[in-house]
Amino acid sequence: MIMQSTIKRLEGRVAIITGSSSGIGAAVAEAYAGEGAKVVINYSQNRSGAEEIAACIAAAGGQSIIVEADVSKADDVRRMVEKTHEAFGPVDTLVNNAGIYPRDAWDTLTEQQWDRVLDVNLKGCFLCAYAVYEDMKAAGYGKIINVSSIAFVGGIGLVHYGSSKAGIVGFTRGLAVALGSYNICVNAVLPGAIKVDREMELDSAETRAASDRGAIAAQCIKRRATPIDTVGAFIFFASHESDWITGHCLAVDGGLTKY
Amino acid sequence: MAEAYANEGAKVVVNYSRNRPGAEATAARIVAAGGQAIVVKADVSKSEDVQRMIKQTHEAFGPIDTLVNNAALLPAGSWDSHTEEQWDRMMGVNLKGHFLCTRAVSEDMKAGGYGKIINVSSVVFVDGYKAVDYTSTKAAIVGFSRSMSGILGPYNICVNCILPGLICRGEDAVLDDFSEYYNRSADEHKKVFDQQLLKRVGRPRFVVGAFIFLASHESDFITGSCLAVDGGYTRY
Repeated sequence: MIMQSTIKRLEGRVAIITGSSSGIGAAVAEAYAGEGAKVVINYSQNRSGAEEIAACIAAAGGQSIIVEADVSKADDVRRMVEKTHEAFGPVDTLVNNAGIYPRDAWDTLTEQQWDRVLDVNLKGCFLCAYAVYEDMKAAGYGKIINVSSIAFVGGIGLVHYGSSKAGIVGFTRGLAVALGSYNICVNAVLPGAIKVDREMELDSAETRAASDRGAIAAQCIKRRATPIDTVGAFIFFASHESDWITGHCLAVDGGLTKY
Repeated sequence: MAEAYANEGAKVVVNYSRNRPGAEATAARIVAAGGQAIVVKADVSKSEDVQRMIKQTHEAFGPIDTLVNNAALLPAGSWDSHTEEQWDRMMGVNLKGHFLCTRAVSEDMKAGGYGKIINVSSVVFVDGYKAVDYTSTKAAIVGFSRSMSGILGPYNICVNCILPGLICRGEDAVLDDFSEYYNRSADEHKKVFDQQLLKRVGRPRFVVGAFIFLASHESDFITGSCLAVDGGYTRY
C-alpha cells in the first residue's frame, strides 16, 4: 500500500510514539523509522509487542529504543523523555497515540472507569506534550500529532471514550494556538473503523464479520482498513510537507464521517 | 502544483482559460526538468471545452486518474454592486466547473478502479468572507465534495477538499500585496494574518505538500475529508 520512498522524509528526526507496541502506534513507529527518524517505542503493558516492533525496525536498518511508561503518570512521562534525550537528543516529533478503548454501558459506568479513560486518553496527551514542547520551542520547530477518533461523534458504550477523543480535538486546537508562534504544528488524526489485532483476539468470528459489514456499509470506500492505511497521514503531518498546517483535524476513515 | 505533480512523475495537463503565456511557461519548466506536460485551453464552466480537454488528455496520455479542480474566479467588487450575471459567472466557473470536470473524468477512474479528485475550496467556507458569491461557491464545493465521495467511493475513487488559507500569489510577496486580487484592504488582511497561528505569510509552495499527499497512495483511505492548509487560521 505504502510506496517505498527513495527520499527519506524524516531523516534526522527524533519521534516519540506513545502506545506503539501494537495497532496504529506500531505501524506509525515502523513507518517513521523507515523514513529515517529515530523512534521511541512506548508501551505500558505489552513489552513483547514493543520488542517485536523494535526488532522489525532494526532488521530494516532503523533506530529505536523501547520505553515503558504509563502516559497518565507525570513521572513515567518525564522518565520517557529523559531516556529519549540520552539515546537520541531533543524530541521534535510527538505522536500522542496511547489510548484505551473499553466499552462500558452508561448506566453502570463507574467514576473509576471514567477517570481511567480520561487520564490515559486525554491527560496523557497533555503530559506528553508538556514534557516535550521545550525541546521543540528551543529548536524553533516541532510536530505534535494527536490521535483522536471518529468516535468523537458518539458510539455505543463509549461515553467516556468519545468524551476523551472529543477532548483531544479541543486540546489540539488549543495547543495549536499556544505553540503556533514557536513554529510548532499541532494536528489531530481521526482514524475511522480500523481493524486491529486486538479486535481479532477479543471478538468472536461472528462479531468480527458483523463489524466488517457495518464498517463497509458506512464507509464510502468499500473495504476494511488496517493500521497501515493510516500511516500516510501520520507521515504527512510529521514531514515538512505539512509545515503550514496546524490546528487541523483530519479524518482517515474511508469517508465514514465526511468530516 | 502542476510542477510538483510532474516532479513526482505524473504526466500533467496544464489548463488555462486566458493566461496562455503563464501556462506555456509552466509547461516549459516541467519539460526542462525532464517531466511531461501538455497545455490545454478550456473554460471549465463550458461543457464542450471540458470534453475537448479530456479528449486531448486521452490522446496525449491515456485515461485520467487524478483531477485537481482548482480553476476559479477570485472575488471582485462589493456585495451591493453585484449583478446577477456576476453571480452566475462565479457559480459557473467555481462550482459548475467542478461538476463538469468531475463528471468528465469519473468514467476513466471507474474503469481503472482507482482515482483521486481534489477540490479546492477555501477557508472562507469557515470564516464567511464578505465576498458572498465567492464564499458561496467555496462552501458549495465542500458539499459537492462530500456528496461525490459517497457516490464514487464504491469505485475506490477518493474525493477530498483542500481549504487553502491566505496565500499570496508570488513566492516573495508581502502581506500588502494580497489586496490587489483578494479585494480586501490591507487592514482586513492584517486581521486574518493576526489570527493565523504560524507567523509566516502564505506562499504557494506551502500548499503543494497537501496536494501531493491527497493524490498519492498514502491517502488511499481518506475520502470526503477537508484539509485546511492555512497556518492554523481556522483550526477546522
